[in-house]
Amino acid sequence: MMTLWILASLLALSPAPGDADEVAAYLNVAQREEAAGHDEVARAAYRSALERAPGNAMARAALERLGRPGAGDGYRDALRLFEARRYAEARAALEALPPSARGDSMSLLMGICAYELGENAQARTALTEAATRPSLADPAHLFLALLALRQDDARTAAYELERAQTSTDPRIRDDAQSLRGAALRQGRWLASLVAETGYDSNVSLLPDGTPTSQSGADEAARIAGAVFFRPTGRSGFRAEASAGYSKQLRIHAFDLGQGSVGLGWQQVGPSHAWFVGYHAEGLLLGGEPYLLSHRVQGEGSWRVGWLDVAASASVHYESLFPLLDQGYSGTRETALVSAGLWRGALRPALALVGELDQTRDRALGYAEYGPRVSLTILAAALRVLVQAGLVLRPYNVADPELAGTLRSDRYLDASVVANWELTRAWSLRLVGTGRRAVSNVTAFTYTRLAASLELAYLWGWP
Amino acid sequence: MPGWGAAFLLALTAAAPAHLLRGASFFREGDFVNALVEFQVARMRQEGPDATWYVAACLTKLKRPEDALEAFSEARARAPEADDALLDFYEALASHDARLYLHASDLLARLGNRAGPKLAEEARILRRRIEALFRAAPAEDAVDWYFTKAAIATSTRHFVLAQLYGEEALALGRRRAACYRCAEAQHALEALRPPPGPRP
Repeated sequence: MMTLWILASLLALSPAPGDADEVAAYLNVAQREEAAGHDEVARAAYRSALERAPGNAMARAALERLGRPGAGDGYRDALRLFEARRYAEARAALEALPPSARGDSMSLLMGICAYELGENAQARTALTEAATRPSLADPAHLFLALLALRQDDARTAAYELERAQTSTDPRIRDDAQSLRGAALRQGRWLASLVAETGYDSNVSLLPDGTPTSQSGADEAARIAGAVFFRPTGRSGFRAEASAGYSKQLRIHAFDLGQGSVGLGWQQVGPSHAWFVGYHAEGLLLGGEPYLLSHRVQGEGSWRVGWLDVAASASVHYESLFPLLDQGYSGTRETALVSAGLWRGALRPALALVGELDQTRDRALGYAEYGPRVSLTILAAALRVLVQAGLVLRPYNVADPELAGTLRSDRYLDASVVANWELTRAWSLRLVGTGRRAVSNVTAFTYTRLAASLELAYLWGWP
Repeated sequence: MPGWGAAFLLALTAAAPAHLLRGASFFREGDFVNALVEFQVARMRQEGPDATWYVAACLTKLKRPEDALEAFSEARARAPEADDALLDFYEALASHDARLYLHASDLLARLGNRAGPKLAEEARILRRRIEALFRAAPAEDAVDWYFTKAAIATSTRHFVLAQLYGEEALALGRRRAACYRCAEAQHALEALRPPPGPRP
């Protein structure tokens, strides 16, 4: 075969007037390809016949019928509209084409247009047709999965994604992989179990320069579980409960137990999602009751072109138990706005965070704010989130216990989270975090590095 | 000397199988549609026994894997001597695209030392991708899918495809604990075999 390629590159080949047998051969190829529905190849064969026999009426008539030459502009225009994400116009342009001028990928394009326009039934019909053609099957299965996810049909979504994941196109494989978890998370009942082990260089937040004999480093093991119930699928009422316990190897005063229950309402659309809810949470610290918190929260996200814009806010009513200092009890409000890309293998995002802590002891209250940047990297079953942020935290009033100093802190945070989906249900997560806290009060300047390895099991039904 | 070169090219052009060369030229440029047309014309005009191999390669590139597999089968019957490692790799790609993963894996394994370093690397990547698909036993509905494809191919008289899908169903069924639908697959494959010729 190589000899043929080399020879072809040496010779300048241009069509010459053909003999009758040659023209007949082109017409034969063209007719067979047209009959099999491969219009593009048929057009090329008819064109070649016409180049050799310009007066050939059959080739000319066929090219007219197939919309070439010249008449194919309508299809190209439709493609241009499609690529510009003007789906309603693209669909109208495709529908206006005569059947003979419609390209091989007509059903897929019509299906995607209908999907993007929120017309689920039309999308399913067209995409199902596209899935029967080998050259269109992979993207068709991917969009059928997206359609099923939109309609809370997790089982169909999983079925379609399994097919899309065998694609030879790495972009389709990656998209299918990243959607697989979403499909699993769509059951009416959802349960998760996490086992974790980790190391923390400074559990008790000792200031920098503390003698090593008082090291705050420790290892810990944690187990946690959660159950979600969504009787109407992704949109509608949602209830959840979770519990977990983290046991330190040496510094048992920081053993942490957690339990929470929550309920709320969630609405998910093709390009938006929002949630409002209430949670009650209790914490145990060192085996003793530590905190009871009531939280009301709202969050929403909207897709604008390639951007995912999100905002959230929450109010926490926090009560510390009498054994501890009641000065920390009070109200805490948080807010976040963010924007990031939601498509592609690399998804950068920028967020602004803010928090207002109104404690009973005003000297302990603060208002903090700062930017956060992140990059999500998607590679088949691996999802890596790299994040960095700066938080400025000025305290509200001077603290008499700090000799009247008005405390002001800055936090530089960085984290890496690598999540590897081992199977549809099991995943492994490696988390690394670091914080450098700098305060005008030396006792609050510290460095903390932590790493943990988590094994998670996620079960969704039905 | 330049005169000798020109004379050689002229002689070569006069004797050259024109459509095969035009097809090869289009193929090199990535214009697989026109390459397919030229190779099909070359096959009709009997410009060389290996034209069907190139038709099959074009069909693979054009993501028409089932058509490609039928063409590969025809090429192997017409001109087995024209087969080479690159064409076998294309056949493996077409098999993969038609979801005939085990067939593709067999073809890739057969490449062996015939493939150059670049092709061997691509083959290794494809084999690894296929192996990843079969870390667990195939699901019953996956085996069922191959039975359906074989039945459709038989009913439309695409017997080469019916054979390939039937063999894949059998191989996949054997990977399940109870050899799922194996007897049924063997029976279907027996029925597809041509009857023995007359005894001498």
